[in-house]
Amino acid sequence: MASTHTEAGAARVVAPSEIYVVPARCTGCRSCEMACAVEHSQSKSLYGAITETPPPRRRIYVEAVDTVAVPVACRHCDEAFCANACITGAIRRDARGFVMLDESRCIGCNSCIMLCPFGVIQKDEARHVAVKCDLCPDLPGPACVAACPTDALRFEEAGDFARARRKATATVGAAAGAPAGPA
Amino acid sequence: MTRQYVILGASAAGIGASARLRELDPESVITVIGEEPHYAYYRPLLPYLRDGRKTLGDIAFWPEEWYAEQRVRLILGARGHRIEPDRKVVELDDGRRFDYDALLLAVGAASRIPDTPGIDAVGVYPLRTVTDAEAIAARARAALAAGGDGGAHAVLLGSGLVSLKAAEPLMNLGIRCTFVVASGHPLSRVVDARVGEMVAERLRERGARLLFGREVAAVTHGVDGSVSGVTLDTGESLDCDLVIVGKGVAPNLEVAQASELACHRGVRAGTYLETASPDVYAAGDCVETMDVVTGGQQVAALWTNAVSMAHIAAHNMVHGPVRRFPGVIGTMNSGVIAGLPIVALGLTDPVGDRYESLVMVDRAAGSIGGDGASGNGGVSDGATARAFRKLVFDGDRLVGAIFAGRVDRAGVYRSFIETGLPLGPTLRSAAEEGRLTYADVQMRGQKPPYSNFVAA
Repeated sequence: MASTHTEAGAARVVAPSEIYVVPARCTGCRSCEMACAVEHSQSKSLYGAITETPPPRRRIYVEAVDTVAVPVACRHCDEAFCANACITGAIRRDARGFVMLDESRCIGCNSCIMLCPFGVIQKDEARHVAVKCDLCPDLPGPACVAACPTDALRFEEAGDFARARRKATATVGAAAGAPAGPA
Repeated sequence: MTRQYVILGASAAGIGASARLRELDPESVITVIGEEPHYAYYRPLLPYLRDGRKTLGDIAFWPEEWYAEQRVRLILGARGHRIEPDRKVVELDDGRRFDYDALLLAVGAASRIPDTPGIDAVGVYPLRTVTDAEAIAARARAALAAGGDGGAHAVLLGSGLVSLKAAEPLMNLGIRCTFVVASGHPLSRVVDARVGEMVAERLRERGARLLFGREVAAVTHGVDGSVSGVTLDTGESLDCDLVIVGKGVAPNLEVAQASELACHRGVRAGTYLETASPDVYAAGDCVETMDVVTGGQQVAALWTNAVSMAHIAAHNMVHGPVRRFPGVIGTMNSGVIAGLPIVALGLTDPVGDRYESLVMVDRAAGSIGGDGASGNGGVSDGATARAFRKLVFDGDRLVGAIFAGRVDRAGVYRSFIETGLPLGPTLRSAAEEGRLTYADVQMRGQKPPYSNFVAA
């Protein structure tokens, strides 16, 4: 019931921050995927996670485009297709504007998977529920971002990111002007 | 000045619009008038309610106190609304009148009941409302308790999604199910014959009987008016305890007609979901809107369409006609039928030379339409046994798709069908190989169908 009342805010709240990807910095190491799966495991440890049944699922996807790797993460969209499509009330925006999936309400109908243009909701067939990014509510920030060794993932406010990008572009050598990742 | 919004209809579109109106106009007066006596509920969950797996509270949209918190005045069990657009007033059949500054017509649709002789016998039900679900549950329990020689038996008219979802809990209870289907395969309005046969095979494995190319000519009943069986157009008779009517839905047009709003198959609404009357908008299953794939007019009664329309209509009720509704994909269905996940989009079985259909079937675990280009990073993607994928092209545009078995990333394909953007050769070959991802779209597409923070 935690998410039940959250759309009740008087004014419309848009997600303040989101996971941004800098594709040029990604080496395809999949540390983000691993950290995501571990954070969403029962044991929350790497060695525990790999022996769990059913195995834990990641919610960020490093996709290959030719020889380039590109992480794709949930945008927590304002007018979220997945939330509009959800026929059970499992997917709703919370008070912060983040789009959350309550697995206890999910019946695994795949409507959200049919709608998401980013392909970042997938089915956990073992548990018959959809799984999506929850931005790691038990951590200070998303596990994928913290795990990225090359700073290809950032969890930032839209405004900060746009400023950082402009600065990076203006500086010769992207690394010199790259913004620091979140603490 | 405090504005007054009146919403006719208290389900997906009506309640969705009320929530958005409260966000957009915190000081306004919002009145929602519904016909059913129940608080809004997730209608697609009715089979679970009947099953006993969920209660009415579990399938409720919002708990009762939400309406007070949101200051949404809710009037339930009300009928016979008539809009007087000149006076900007709604009148109910009990004489109550409500002024509005902007009004939303969201009265939904009702089950289509054929005029077959005997169709009004006790024990013949559609599955559209809580009342229907409760009646089916009571009838099923009684039939099981009576337990004749062959056990309890249900006949289902049609094999669309409603019939298939209605049958699931009946089969779980041990009631034999026979589908009487006019077309040649299940889900004939949604998928092609090949996927239809995959569904039929699964249903048969679960003990269901499927009769194709046949219709029920009459429903027979005993002296007490209680259903005893059906007679088919072939003359064959079947005994049964229960009949479920799954012949689709039709928009509720009474209010629009009484108010002299233009209707065709549904209420006519323009790009801004406006009707012919000023400040009267329409949303949800009662509306006829554009099919973006065919360009034709279509009533696409679907939960997600209703919610999307409601949000746009609410915006326009507050700000005037500024936000456009892009239209719908006429066929857009997802479900898990007898254990088989299926997503069907757009033109799934078109006729004509201009279309090119590509079919890929895979019997190995999850190598089609599945994890695509990604490795699995040491974690499972939960592949199922067999996958089927069909893509339909009109030149360079993707206009239809069916995914069965594996449905991962179906939404990436859907975004191209919805927007009509051409794939180009690189994305097309990725799609054909079942490895199209948003990364491909982002890195290779000239313009992605959707980028961040999608606003309709």
